Amino acid sequence: MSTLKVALYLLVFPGFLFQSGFSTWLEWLDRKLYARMQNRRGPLYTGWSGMMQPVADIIKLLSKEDITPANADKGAFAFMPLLSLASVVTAGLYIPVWHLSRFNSFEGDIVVVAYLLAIPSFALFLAGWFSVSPYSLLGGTRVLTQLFAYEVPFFLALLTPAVMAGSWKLAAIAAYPWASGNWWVLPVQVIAFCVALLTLQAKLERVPFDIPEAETEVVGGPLTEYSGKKLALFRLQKDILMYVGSALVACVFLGGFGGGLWLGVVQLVVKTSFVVALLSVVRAACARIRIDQIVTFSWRWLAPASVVQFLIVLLIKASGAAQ
Amino acid sequence: MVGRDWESEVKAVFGEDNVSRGADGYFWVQIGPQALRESVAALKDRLGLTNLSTIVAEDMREHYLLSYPFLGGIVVTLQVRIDKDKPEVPSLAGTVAGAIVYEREVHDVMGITPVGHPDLRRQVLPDDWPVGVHPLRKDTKLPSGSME
Amino acid sequence: MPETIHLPMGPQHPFLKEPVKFDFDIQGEEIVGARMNIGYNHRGLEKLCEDRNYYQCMYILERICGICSHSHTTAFCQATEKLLGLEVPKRGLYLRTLVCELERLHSHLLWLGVAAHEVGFDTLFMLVWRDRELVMDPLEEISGNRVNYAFNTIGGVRRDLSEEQRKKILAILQPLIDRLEYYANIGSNEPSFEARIRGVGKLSKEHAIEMCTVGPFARASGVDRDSRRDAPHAAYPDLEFKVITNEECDVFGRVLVRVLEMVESCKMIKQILDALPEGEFVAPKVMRRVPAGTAISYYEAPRGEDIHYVRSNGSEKPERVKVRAPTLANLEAACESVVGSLVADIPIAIASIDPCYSCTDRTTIALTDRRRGRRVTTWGELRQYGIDWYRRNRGAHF
Repeated sequence: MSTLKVALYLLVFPGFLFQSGFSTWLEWLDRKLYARMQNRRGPLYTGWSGMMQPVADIIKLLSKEDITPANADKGAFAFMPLLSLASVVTAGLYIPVWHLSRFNSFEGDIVVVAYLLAIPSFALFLAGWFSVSPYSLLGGTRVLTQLFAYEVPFFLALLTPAVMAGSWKLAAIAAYPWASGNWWVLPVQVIAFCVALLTLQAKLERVPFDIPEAETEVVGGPLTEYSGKKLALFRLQKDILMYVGSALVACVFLGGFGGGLWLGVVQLVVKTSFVVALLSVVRAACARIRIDQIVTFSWRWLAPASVVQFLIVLLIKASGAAQ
Repeated sequence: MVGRDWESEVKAVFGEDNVSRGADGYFWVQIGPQALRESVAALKDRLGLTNLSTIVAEDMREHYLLSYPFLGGIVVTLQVRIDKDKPEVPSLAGTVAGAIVYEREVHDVMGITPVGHPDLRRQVLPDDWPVGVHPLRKDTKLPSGSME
Repeated sequence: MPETIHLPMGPQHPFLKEPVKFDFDIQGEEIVGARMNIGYNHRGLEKLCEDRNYYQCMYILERICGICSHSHTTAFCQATEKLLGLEVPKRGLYLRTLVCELERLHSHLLWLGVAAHEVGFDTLFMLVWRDRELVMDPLEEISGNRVNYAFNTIGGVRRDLSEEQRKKILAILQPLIDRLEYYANIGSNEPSFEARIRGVGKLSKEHAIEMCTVGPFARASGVDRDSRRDAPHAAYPDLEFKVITNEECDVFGRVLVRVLEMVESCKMIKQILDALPEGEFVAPKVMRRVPAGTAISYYEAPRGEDIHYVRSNGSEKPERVKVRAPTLANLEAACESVVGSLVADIPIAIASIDPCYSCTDRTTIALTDRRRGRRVTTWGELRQYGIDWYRRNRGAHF
């Protein structure tokens, strides 16, 4: 593989450029759907039907004054946005865009992606910690508390299809229903899909799990002291995290049927948009719950539900129905 | 409300001469500062009035006047004259907890000290307001240029 | 024992719509102490009134608050009418009450939206505020304004109601009641919303009485207190209505009380419009000089009882005007009620009294800049300051 090709992979497709472009489009989709469900118009003026609004927001933030609090740890304060952005973009590289022909697809990449997706939460916590303001500290601790609540059900839910497919490779998991002809495994995994959706919502810190950055309680949470370029990077990171998370869930739960580069890209776009649309419905239908309530909720309901799903899959495997 | 002879009841509590009744049926009761706490207790025990609406402080030029309206089926307003030489009044904080904010306000704007108040912070005036300047007193000269 | 952190909230904070300062002591997420500090919104209105005649006062008092502007003028007009011994025509009283109830509807809808926003339920917030327009339109139609109606005058109201307008208002009532039932349903059945409001901001009945709380806040703690019934004013003695109370003693109860109160308001509006008397709507002759005396006037504003105390010295100007807005009576109790709960409950617990700080802070005089001995910074000075600052610090020229 030539160096040029690798550079293209990393920077253009499916690397940074594609990810930022597509993820801002997803943000537009989310905002538009959310607004329509609330009887509003949503973004309207920048680009066709306001499609460029998220990009415009980020460009605006990039041009704003960048303030570092006097008491903050300067190096760590500046490093955290880069760290979290880098980790999600890296995770995004492993999302199989078209099946079976990926240069960086290997056995165990699902675990790598899942772990890379946990880094932004730690970066957020540290960002709050190093900003040294009461709201940032409070928001940062909430990020960690919430992480402990949703991470285990999220992993369990993601591993269910992997066990079903008998592979730790994302591309193989996505291709399994099509390759084996067992399309019925998709509806069987619906419990895990729901758990994954809800925990993904918690990972993305959106209503009803936007506790760490609940505006009316802790202002901006860990990002209270951030401004300008650093805040823009965090926003871009959030968008890309939404893309990678939705694509990951879409990839392991919604299957696919190969079909080469172009069909592969179309499948990715459609499946990911579908997951994002579901996420915005959840966001529109709920109030924000409290930090104690999310811990109770995820250990009382989500974790047992994913364990039950896991057992169902194991039973199916043991019975030999999925051969 | 109906069927209760409020007028004679109020007069029985405070004495015939101290009570007057307005055209709207509201009662006005003149009492002295020392009698304030007992009067409030009597309102509560004998008439069942506990809802202190507010405390109005006025500068009547010869003296200050504090009015304590109570609402509960009827309106009874206790009026207390305060001497200009000794702008003090017993605090109601122990009897009616809701009086705390109003007394703080009276202390700010009229400079009448509620004796026995637990927490006399500034409430309505800014923290850098000069000590001893009470804006609603009629003879207050505000710091230069601050009022047009 | 975890360390106690001091968490200041305000004077500027996203959960506050107006400036007020709260200081909380927190251990982890739990609140162990709370103090409040008001007074950021003082405009010296009471003092200002001593310098104006009664009609001018009305316009000043109308601007105490944007949401319940009609409450303050009604209370003030009532007090002045008492001093004058003026008989207000029946139609005037009815129209005044009509606007009162419409105002209550719009204020409670506004509150419901804000409360939903405080717990992050933005969908409800948007939908409620859309339906609030149903009420804003008739208000604008009747008075010409959406916010400061300028509808009252001493001796009655300033505008009559046409038959066409009457029909328009009647037409909104049924759709509004349907929507309210829907919201009551959401409030008690949507699990995430209910989880955030049930058991939050507890205020016992005894404490509510002791703290002299008023309005829906007190009624949701089971205190049967409503000045529309206890101190009859305007057209309320002629109307039939229930005083809504609730024994839940928490934010959940306050949501229910307000929603049911809105339904009562709709019924009252129907009664008013059905029985609207014919005749004059304003007293024909009103003296400019008001006889000496004092008057207290009660008015049940959307947030609780609003009290105006007016002393006249026989001239054209009042000697003293004192305003007690309902928020002041409730704020201390609300502040205390958050102690022991979590940081996440602060916004909704404080918002549950429907705080209106510009009503609360109305008495004092503007700040003095002692260094320059000037009262305020003028616009020109501020602009010059900005230009200089950027030139010094950023090298930018304008």
